[in-house]
Amino acid sequence: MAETWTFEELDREIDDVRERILRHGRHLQRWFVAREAEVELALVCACAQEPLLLVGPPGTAKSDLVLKLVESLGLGPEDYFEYMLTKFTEPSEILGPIDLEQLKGGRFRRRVEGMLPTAAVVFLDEIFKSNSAILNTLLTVLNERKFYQDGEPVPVAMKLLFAATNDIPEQSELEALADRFVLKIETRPVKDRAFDELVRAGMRNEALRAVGARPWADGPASLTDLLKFKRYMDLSFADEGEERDRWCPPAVFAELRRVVRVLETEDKVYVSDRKVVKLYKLVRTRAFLTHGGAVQHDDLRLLRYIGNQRHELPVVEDKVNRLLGLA
Amino acid sequence: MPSSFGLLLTGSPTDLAVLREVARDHPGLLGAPWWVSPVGEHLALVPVEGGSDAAREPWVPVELDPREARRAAHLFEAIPPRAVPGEAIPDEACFLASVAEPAARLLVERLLRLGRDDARLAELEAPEGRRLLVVLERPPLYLLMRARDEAEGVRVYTRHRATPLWVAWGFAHPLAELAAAHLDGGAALVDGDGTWRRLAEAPGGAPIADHVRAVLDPPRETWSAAPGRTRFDVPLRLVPAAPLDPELWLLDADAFLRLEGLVAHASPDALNRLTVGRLRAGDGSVRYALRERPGRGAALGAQVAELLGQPGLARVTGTDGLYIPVDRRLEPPVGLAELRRVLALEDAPLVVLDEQDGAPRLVHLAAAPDAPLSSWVEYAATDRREALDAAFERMVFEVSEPVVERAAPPRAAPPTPGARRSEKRRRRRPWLPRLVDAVTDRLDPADVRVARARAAELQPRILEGGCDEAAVWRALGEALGVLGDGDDAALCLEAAAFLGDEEAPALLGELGGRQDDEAAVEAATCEAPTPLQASRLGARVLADLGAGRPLLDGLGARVLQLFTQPGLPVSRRLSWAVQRTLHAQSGDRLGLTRSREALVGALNVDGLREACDAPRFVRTALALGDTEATVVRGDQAAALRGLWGILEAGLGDGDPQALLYRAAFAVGFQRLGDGEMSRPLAELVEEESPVHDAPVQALARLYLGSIGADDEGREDRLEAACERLSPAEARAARFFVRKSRWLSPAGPPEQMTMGAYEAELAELEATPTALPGWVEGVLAAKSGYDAHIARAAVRAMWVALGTGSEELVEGMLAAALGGIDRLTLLAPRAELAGAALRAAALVSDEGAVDALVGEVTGLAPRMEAVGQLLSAIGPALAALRRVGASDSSDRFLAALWQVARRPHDEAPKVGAFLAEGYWLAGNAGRAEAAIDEVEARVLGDELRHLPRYEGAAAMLDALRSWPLEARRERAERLLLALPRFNDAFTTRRWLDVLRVLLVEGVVDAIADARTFASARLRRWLEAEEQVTRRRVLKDWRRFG
Repeated sequence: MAETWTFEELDREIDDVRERILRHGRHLQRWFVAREAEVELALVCACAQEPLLLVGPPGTAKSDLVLKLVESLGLGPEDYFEYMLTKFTEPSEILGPIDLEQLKGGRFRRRVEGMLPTAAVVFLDEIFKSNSAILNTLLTVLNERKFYQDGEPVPVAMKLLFAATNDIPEQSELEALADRFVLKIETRPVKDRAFDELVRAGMRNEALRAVGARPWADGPASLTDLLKFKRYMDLSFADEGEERDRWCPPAVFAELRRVVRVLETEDKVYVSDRKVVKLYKLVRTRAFLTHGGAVQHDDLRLLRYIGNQRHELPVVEDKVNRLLGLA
Repeated sequence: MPSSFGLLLTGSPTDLAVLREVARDHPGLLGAPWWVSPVGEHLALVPVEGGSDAAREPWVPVELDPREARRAAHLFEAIPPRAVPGEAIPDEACFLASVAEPAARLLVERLLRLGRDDARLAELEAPEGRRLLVVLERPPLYLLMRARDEAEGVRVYTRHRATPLWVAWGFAHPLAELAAAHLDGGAALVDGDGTWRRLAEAPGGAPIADHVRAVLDPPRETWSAAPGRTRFDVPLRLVPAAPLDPELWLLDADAFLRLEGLVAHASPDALNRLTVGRLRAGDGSVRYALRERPGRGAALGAQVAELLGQPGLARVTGTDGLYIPVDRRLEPPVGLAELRRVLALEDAPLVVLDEQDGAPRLVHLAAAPDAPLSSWVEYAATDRREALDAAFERMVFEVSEPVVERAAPPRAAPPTPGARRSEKRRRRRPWLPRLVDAVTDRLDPADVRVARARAAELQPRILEGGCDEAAVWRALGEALGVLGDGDDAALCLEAAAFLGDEEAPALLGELGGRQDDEAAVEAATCEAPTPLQASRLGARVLADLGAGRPLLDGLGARVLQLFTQPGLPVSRRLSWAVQRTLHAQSGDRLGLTRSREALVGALNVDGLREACDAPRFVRTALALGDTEATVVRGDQAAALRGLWGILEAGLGDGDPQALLYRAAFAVGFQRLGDGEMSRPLAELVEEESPVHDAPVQALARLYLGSIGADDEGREDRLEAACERLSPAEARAARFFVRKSRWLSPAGPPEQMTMGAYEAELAELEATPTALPGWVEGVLAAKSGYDAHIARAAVRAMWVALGTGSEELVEGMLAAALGGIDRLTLLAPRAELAGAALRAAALVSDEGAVDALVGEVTGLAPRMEAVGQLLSAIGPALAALRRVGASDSSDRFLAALWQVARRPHDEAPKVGAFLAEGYWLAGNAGRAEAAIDEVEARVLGDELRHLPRYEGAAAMLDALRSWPLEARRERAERLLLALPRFNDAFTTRRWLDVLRVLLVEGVVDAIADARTFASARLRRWLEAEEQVTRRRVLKDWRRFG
C-alpha cells in the first residue's frame, strides 16, 4: 500500500478522514457493552500505529474487540494474523515455516504468506507467556518493523498490533517488551454494571455470528483512512518544531509533565524517555482525532493507561483521574 | 546615598563564608537595614549604618547606583534565596493564595480531590488583602509543581528544617539558620525573588473541613419512618446440602446396642467425647440421644454413623442446640432470633428438625445427652490390647454384661428391670471366648480390693521409669491380672520375665490360658501374626521352657525366626526373653549374638515403641498427669481463659491484630473442647471481620478454617483465601502463612541429596561391613561437596546402627573421627559429628563420646547458624539420654551453656534448647535457670525484633515439657510484654506479624496436649531403654 501522500494532498481531505474514523468509533461502540474506553484507545493506537495491550481475565471481549475492529475496517483473513502464544511457541509458528526447497539450496528462508510478516493487523494473545526466542523476534518486529530472513532484515507489513494478557509478569526479561506498549488498558467484566445490556448484546452477537452475518463489518472508515491519518500526523510532527505551543498549549504541556512526574515520584511508575515521546505523540493524535486541534486538558486522560505492572493499572487510572479532575 | 565599603556577593560558595564572617564580626549588622544593589552580575550590600570604614576582607569599596538600590530591613532580607536543582518533596510546605481569587478555591478543591484532608488552613490579614495559608506535611508533588509552574496566584513555600522560616519551593536561603534565629517568635515566607513576608506567628490553622462548604442544591424530599412493621411469611424448609460431620443421633434401643462394637475398642478419650441421654418419645418408647462433643483427635462422627447405619444430625451454625440432618440446610437463612421463635428453641436444651415421610418433624429433647458413654460401660474383662485386627471380630462381644448401663441417668427414669433383662438376653452370646470366662471366673470382690491396692502401690514405682526390679514388675502383673487388665498384666509379666524372674513365665502362660498347639503353630507359621497371637506364642514358649516342657517339633526354630524380626508387634523385652531362652536351651552363642545385634539395631533405630512397650496405665498417666483427661483439659482451658483475659484487656479499638488474636484463641479453645469460649470468639471474628483489611480478614478465615481441618488442605485453603486479594495483599498473607506454624502448608520432605555418593551407598547397604572403609575413603578423597559427603557418612552411620553390630558401628566411628576434619564447612561437620555422637552413645563408646562431645562443643562457638547446630546435635543429646550417658550429656549441655550466655542474637534459642535438655534429663534446677535466662533476654533490651521473637518462640516450644502452671506463668509474662514484639516487615501496613505469631505460640504452649504427653512419655521410654540395653548386654556376656 503506497503511503506517499503529500501533506497538501492529505490536508484537503483530512477532515473527512477524521470524521470517518470518528464515526467508525461510534459504529464499533454499538457492538459492545460498556467498552467505550477500550474502543477509543484501540482507534487512537490504530491511528498512531502504536501497539495496545489489553489486560484482563478471560471473557472480557479482548479478542472480540480486535476481531471486530479488523472486520469493520473491511480487512480479510489475509490481512489479519492472530495467535495465542505459549512457552512452547516457536518462531516458525508466527513468522512462517522454513522453506525446505530453499533450505536444500542453502538458503534459510521462511514461507511468510499468511503469517505475521504479511499481515496488516496482528493480534497476539497471552503475549507474556512466550519464550525468549519469540520475545526477541517480537522486539525486533516492534522496534524496527522488520524481521530477519537468512540474516537479512525484511520489512513486515504490520500496521496495527494488539496484544492481550491475563497478567503482566514482574520479570525483568519481559520489561522491555512491556515497555513497548505505551498504553495498557484493563478490560474488566461489565456484568455487574450492565447485566441486562450484556446479555442482550451478547445474544445478538452470537446469533449474528451463527448465521454468518457481520453487520459491524460495514464500518465507515478503512485501513487506508487510518494510514492517511497517520501519514498526516507524521508530516505535521515533522513540521511542528517551534510551533509546539500552538499544538500543545504550555499550560497543558506543563500539566502533562506534572502528571508524569507525579506518577514517577509518588507511585513509582517507571516512564522511559521513549515512552514520554510516544505518549506525547499519542496525546497529540487523540487531540487531532477527537477535535481536530490543539491538545486540550481532556486529552491527557490517555495518561490513565501508562501503568506498567498489573497492580499499577488501577492505581494510575485513579490517580490521573484525581489529578486531572476527570470523572 | 553614600559611597562606602560594603560586601560583594558573587553567587559562588564564597558568599556564605563572607556572610558568616560578617555575622561573626558584626552581629549587630544582621538585624540592621542594608542597601542592596546589583553591580554587574554581582550583588552589592552596604549597611545603612555602621560596617567597615576600611577596605579589609571581606569589605570592599562599593559605589551604589541610587536608581537600582533598594533598602532591605535586615541582612537576611537583603540576600536573595538561590535556586536549588531538582524537585524534592519537602517534609512540610505551605501554600499562600488570595482568598478573593479563584486560585484559593481551586487549591482547596484539589486538596480534597487528592484526599489530603489533613491540611490545615488559616486566613491572614495582609496589606494587599486577605490571604489563605494552607500547611500540610509531605505535600503532593502535583500541587507543588502546579503552584510553581502556573501563574494562578498560589505560592508555595517549604519549611527550612523545623524553623519558622519558609522559603519558596525550589529555593534555599543561604543564611536560613541565622535568619530563622532572628524571627523572634514570628515566621517568615521568602519568595524566590527575595521578597519577605512576615507572619506574626507560625503557620497553623484549622482542619480543611472547617473551611469547606459543600454546594449542591438538588430537589429535596424527605421520607419519614413509617409506623408498624410488615412481616412477610417465608416458608422455612430443609434443602439438600453438602454433608457435614454428624454430631447427634436419635436412636432406638436396637440401634443403641450397635454401639457395642465401638465401645469395645474405642479409646477412653473417644468414650468421653460421646455422651448419651435416655429419653421417652411421645409414643412412650425409649429412645437414646447420642452426641459427640468436640475434642482432641479426629472426629468420630463418620465412624459412628457407619456403625449405626444412620447419617446423623449436625448442629446448625450459630445455634447451641438446633440439629438438622447432616445433608440438609435450612433455607432460607433467617436470624437466630427468628429461629428461636419459630422452632421454640428456648423450650428444650436440644431441638431436632428432621424429616419423616417427606414432611418436616420438630423434636424437642427435654434433656441433653450429657452422660459420657464411658459411664455407661463397665469393663469386666479385656484382652490383649493390640489385638485389634483379626481378634476384633471375636472381641466385639467380649465386653461382658451389662455392657451398657447408665451410671447416673440424667433427667430420665432408669430402664425397667424387665427391659434391662431383655437387653441382656439380646446381647448374650453362647460363644464367649474362654479367656474372658477364665478371667471373669476369678473375679472376687475381696481379691479385687487387695489387687487394686497393690497396683496403686506399685504403679508409681514403674512410672518413675527405669525400673529393673523383676519382683516389682511381677507383683504388678499379678495384681493387674486379678483386676482383669490382661494387656498391662502381660506387659508387666513380660518385663519380669525379661529381668530374669523365674515365676513370671508361668504366670504369663496362665494369664490368658495356655495357647493350644494348633493356635501356636498357626501363630508361628502365618505370614504376619497379630499382636495377640505373637505375644501369646511368646508366653507359651517361655512358660513351656521354664517348666521344662519340650516344644513342638520345629516350633522353636520358627519362633526364633519370627521373634528376630524387628517389626514384630510385641514388646522388645518379650522378644529378647524368648530369643535368649531358646538360644540358651540350644547353646547357640552365635545365634544369641545375632539376636542381640538385631535387637540392639532395632533399639538404635527406633528405640522402645510406645504402642508395644509402654503399659496402658503408663501411657495414660504420663499423657494426662494424675487426673482424668477432662480435668486436664479443664485446667488447660482455665489457663487459656486467664491468658485470653490478659490479652483482651490490652486490646485497643481497631487493633488489626485483635481479630487474629481472637481467631488464634478460638482455635485454642476449640482444641480443648471449650465451646463456651471458642464459639463466641469465632462469631466475634466473623462479625468484626469486614471492618479489617482484606489480608487480615483472609488470615482470620484461615485460622478459623484450620479448626478440625487436616494439614493437607492448607495449600488449597491459602490459595482460595488469596484469590480475593490484590497481589500486594496476597503477598502479605502468604508471607504470614509461611511463618505461621498452624497455617503454613506442609511442603514436600526436603530432599537431602548426596550427589554421586547416593548410588554407591545404595549398593553398599547390602554389604554393610564395607561401609567403614568406604566412608574413610570418601572423607579422605573429599572429591564432592562437604554437604554431600557428610550426608553420605551420616546415612552410612544409620545403616551401621541398624545392624546392631557394635563392631561395625565402632568401625564407622573410627572412620568418621579419622576424617571429620577433612570437612571444612562447619554445618556439614556438625551434622556428621552429631550423628557420630549419637552412634557412639548408643554403643556406649565412651572414648568416642568424649572425642565427639569435644568436637561439637568446639564447633558450637564458631557456628553462626545456631539453628543448624541445634538440629545437628539434638538427636545426639537424645541418644545420650537414652543410653543413660548422663555425664556426657551434662558436659555437652555445660559446653552449650557457655554458648547460650554469650551476647548473641541466637543465644536465647540455645538457652531454650538447653532448658529442654536439662528438663528431660531430670535436672529441673538447671532447666529453670536456663529458661529464666532466656526469658530475661527475650524481655530485655538487647535483642532486635526478630531474635527477640525467635527466642520467645523457642522458649514456648521448650516449655511444652513443663507443667501447665509453669507454662502459664511464663506465657502470661510474654503476653504482658506483647507490645515489645515489633517487626520491620513490609506487612506492617496491615499487621504486626511477630505479635500474632507469638500469640500462636502461647496458645500452642497451653493447648497442645499431645506434645506435653509425648515429652513425658519419651523420658519414660528412654529410661526403660537404658534398662533394656543393660540387661541385654548382661545376658549376652553371661551366656558367653
